[in-house]
Amino acid sequence: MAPRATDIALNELELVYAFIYARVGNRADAEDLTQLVAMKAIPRLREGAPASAIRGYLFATARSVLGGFWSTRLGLSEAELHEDLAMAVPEPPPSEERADTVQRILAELSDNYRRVLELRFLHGYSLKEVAKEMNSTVGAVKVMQLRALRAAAKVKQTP
Amino acid sequence: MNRPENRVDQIVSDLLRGRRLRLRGGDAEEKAAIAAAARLVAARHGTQRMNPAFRKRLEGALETAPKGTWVTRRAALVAGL
Repeated sequence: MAPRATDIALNELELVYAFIYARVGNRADAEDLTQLVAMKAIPRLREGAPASAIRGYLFATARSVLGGFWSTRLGLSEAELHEDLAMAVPEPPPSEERADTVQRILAELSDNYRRVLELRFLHGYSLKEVAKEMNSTVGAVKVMQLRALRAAAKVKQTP
Repeated sequence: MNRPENRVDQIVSDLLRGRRLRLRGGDAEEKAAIAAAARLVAARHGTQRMNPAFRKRLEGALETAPKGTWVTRRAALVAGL
């Protein structure tokens, strides 16, 4: 017997969850948004639809839901959001977000910016620990972290 | 505390502790930096799978959801679904 569209969709939602998590960085928001995608998309799935169609539909819904999330939280129209936040509403997704993408982004940054983001995000250092490691102050590290994130956001995302 | 570096660090610290993105309208100026931070935090955790308890809740919710009719992907996008 062919699997039901709902069962296919539940499996595809694993990919949707990973896609959303990679863009919001936390489980609680990723779960809420994945549930929203499921509740919007799954009741509209046609029995017998191929997995590829179901996946395309789920990801189209996920992109829309993510756009709405950022738009609502930041108080921006979706048009403003799409101009500046291409990272959050990307082209059709890869099956998974790869760590090497992050390494590639970091590689585009200056040494100081790369170092502060590596220590803070990849190694989980506190600001104080980063300051000590970089012979700097907590205040200076905060400013450098912000500038490094702005620079990271400008690095072009390629497939 | 209202300086952008403080505000963005608060968001980063929350994310690093596994908390939600708690944003407000004033954060729009730094939206690209915040999105970059969320991606980096996620990358640190690697590709994520659904928690089994969440998956079970989701299955339950879907079982009881009313069935609609199939719409094309284009129609869905136009409708903002």
